[in-house]
Order: sequence, then C-alpha cells, then structure tokens
Amino acid sequence: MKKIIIFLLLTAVIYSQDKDPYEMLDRVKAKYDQIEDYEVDVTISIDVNFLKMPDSKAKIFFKKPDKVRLKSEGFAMLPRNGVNFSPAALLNGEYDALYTGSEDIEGKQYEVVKVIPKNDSSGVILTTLKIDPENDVVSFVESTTKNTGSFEVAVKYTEIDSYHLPQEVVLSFNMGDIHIPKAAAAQFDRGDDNEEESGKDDKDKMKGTVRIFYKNYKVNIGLSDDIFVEEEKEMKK
Amino acid sequence: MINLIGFELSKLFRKWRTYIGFLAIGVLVPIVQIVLHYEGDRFVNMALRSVQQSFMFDGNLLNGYLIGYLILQALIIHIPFLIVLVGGDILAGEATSGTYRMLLIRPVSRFKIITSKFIAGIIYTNALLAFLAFMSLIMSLIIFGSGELIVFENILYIFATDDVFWRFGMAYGYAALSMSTVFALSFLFSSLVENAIGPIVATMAIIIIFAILSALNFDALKVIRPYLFTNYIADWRLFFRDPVEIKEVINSGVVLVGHIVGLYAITLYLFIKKDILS
Repeated sequence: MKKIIIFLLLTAVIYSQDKDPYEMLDRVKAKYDQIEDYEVDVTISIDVNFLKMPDSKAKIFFKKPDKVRLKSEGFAMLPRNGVNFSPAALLNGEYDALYTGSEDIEGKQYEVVKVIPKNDSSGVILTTLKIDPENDVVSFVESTTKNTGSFEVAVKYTEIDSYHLPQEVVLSFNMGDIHIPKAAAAQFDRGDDNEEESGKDDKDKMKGTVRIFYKNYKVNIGLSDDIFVEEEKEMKK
Repeated sequence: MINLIGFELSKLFRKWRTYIGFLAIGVLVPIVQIVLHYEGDRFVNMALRSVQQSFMFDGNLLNGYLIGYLILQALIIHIPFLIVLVGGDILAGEATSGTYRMLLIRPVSRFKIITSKFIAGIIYTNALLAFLAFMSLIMSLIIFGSGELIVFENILYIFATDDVFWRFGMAYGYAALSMSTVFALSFLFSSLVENAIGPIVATMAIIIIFAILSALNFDALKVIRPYLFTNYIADWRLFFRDPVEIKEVINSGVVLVGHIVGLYAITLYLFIKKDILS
C-alpha cells in the first residue's frame, strides 16, 4: 500500500518538487516549538451519526510535545485524533515528505506537503498538510490512519503575543466500527425497534464533524505534568 | 362519590398486599443504588468503551439522573405484577370474603361502587409510581447529585442537566398511563371471578403473551402488533430521544387511554348485569 502511494506521489512530484518540503516542515515545527504549553477555554459542538449531545464548554490543557487534557464542569468529549494538531507528534519520527505544489483555498495560497511516516508505530499511513507559507502554520490536515479511519482538520488561527494559535477547528472524521450497547433488557420492546437495530450497518461507522471554538488563551504558563496524569491513565485503560 | 373513593382507599390500604409493591420498591431500589455506587463507573466505561478509543471525556456521567433512568428502565417491566396483585383482588376479594351482597344492598348504585373502586385502584397505581419516582429519581439525585444524562438507544444521547427533569416528569406521567392500563385489565378480570388468583395470573399471562408478540419481528405479526397494548407500554422511552416524537407519543397515549376507558366500560357493563349469588 505504502509503495503504491509513494510511487504515485513521486510521479506527481517530479513536476512540482521545486521547493524543499523538509525545510518547509522544519519551519512549521520551529513555529510550533515556540509554544511550550497553554490552557484555553473551548466550546465544543459535536455533530456525529452515533451521538447526540448539546454544545459543551470545557478547558483544554496542552503541553509539548503532545500532552492534552480536557477538563469540564459538566460533561465534554473530544476526538483524540486531530483536535490539537501538533506537527511534533507527526514529525518527530522518521518520515518521507513530498511537496506536491500549492493550492488556492478561498483566495489564499497554501503549500501542500504529503508526509509518510517510516515508523509503523505512529499508526498514520499518509498525512497531507496544507501550510500557510506566510505564517508557517498548518491550516489543513488530511490524515489516514491504519486503525482509526481517516480525519480532516481545518484550522483558523488567531495571533496572541506573536504566537499563532487555533481560534476555530473543524474536524471531520470517518472512523472505525462502533458498538452502541442496547438499553437494558426491555420486555416491552417494539418489533420495529428491532428492525431499526438490524438495519443500521452504515451507521456503525463513526463519522461526523466536531467544531471547536477557542478563547482566553494562556500561553507558556509552565503547566505541571500532574495535570495530564489522569488523562494518561485513561489512555492506558 | 368522594366519600366512596375514600372508603375504598381505606379498605385498600388496610390490606397487607397493598404494601407489597411499596415494600418491593423500598428494598430493591436502595440495593440497586448501592450496587451502582460501587459498580456504576464500570457500567459507564463498558457502555462507552468503543467510543473511548477515539474520544477523550471529562465529566461525571454516573449521577442521579442516570441511576434514576436505569432503575426506571429495569423496574418498570416488573411493576405490572405489583399492580395486578392489588387490581386482581379489588373486586374478586369482595366475592372471596362474601361482602358483595352486603355492599350492594346499600343505597349506592353499582355504577358508583365500580367507579369508586376503579378510581381507588388508579390512585394506588399512581401512588406506587410516585413512590418509585421518589425512591429512584429524587433519592438518587440526593445521593449522587445531578449531571448530564446518557441514554443508550439506537444512538447515544447525552442530555444537558437542565434538559432532563422534565423528561423524567413526562416519562413517569406516561408510565402512570401504561400501568393504569394494566390495572384496568386486572380490574376487568377481577369482576369476572370470585378468587383473586385468577385475575392476577390471567392479566400477567396476557401481558407476557402480548409483549412477546410485540417484540417478535415477523412479517405475519406486523398486522396485529398495533392492536396489542403492550406495544405502547414502553413508549415512555420516547421522552429520552431527541427530538421527542410528539405525534407518536400522542398516538400511543390515545391508545392507552382508549384501553383504560374501554376496559372500565366493559367492567361496568358486566358488573351492572352481574347476578350476585355469593
């Protein structure tokens, strides 16, 4: 699979490889490296096929390279993939990068770089980054993973103390199967409820869109690692 | 009429079997609450396991609303038995104890006697559900606190804290209608015999048979399904979907009210025509 992707990309790239993608990615990485940590208030709006919930408010804590903690007074949830996109996680290992040209999106030029990690442990097969060359930030990400499907991220940035930070993130994803447990034994179930259950093969794929609006950033405030301990425990479960 | 209803209620609440339902709920609900206090997190984690791989969460989903919902869901299918214990005895008990004649020679019409007994039975049914609501919802809220409610239907629903209580109110209101239908059926059977065992067994048998026919997903049964009242009994769950399908709720409610009125009218007709020989 990887060989075919590389072959196809190489053919396309022969005509467009006039810019060094590694240099471009290094500039992006250096830009993101300026941010050690931050905390920010977010409003999360989830529109997915397997879940209905109201918009929620929460705090996101981020610490370099890829520690993320979600904290909410009520209940909040966020996709693990893509929301706090940091190129560090993707670019810290070995990878092949291919520059495939520039693309005009809503009147603005973006440089398109495809990244194929050499290490299988990342779980990512191919990631396409659309980089804003003026600010050296990634504005669009399209990623295909081995086990958790694919996702696309569109990021609008705001500038705070010369740092470029997400102001609005739109994440679209199409992930693997989901099993929603049926309600506890219901003696009076309707027959048509059973039909509904049996005819929802397509719904079993997790797909949808998550929008996150960020405000009240506090950047490089020296967040303690303890904040992320609980989230790491959850991940290990 | 009000005096008659009061008289019937005092007779009803002087029988020990009337308290079986309250006792069962009073014992069962705290046991479920204690178990969920220790095992509830595991339950929530198990329910969200497949989503957890792709999403991170924060917040307390194991709260009074979830426990109230789980108890309502688990117990509502057993409540009919507690209802028919009383409903099956309400008229047949008079025959068993030989008080029919004494009751009917008083200057009160058979219509008033049947109606007051029926209303007393409906009050008992609603009191039992109110007790269930108090024990399962109010006590759970006091013990576990409030929060968002997670409901597992064909999809996952997470309702905001301020969007839940009214759903419970409506769900319990609907459940009261469902259980009143069960009572009305046992009341009808109770008027036909002279021993309470028969109406209790007959009502439960009908509920179980209808419930199985409602749940079986065969084409041949689709035709009769809309005519089985058990098909509508669990529609309190419609209040825990978003949006609530009002048309379906009204339709189901009308069917249940129709059953209650119809069963009462048949009982009234049969009782007025009945020749009391015992």
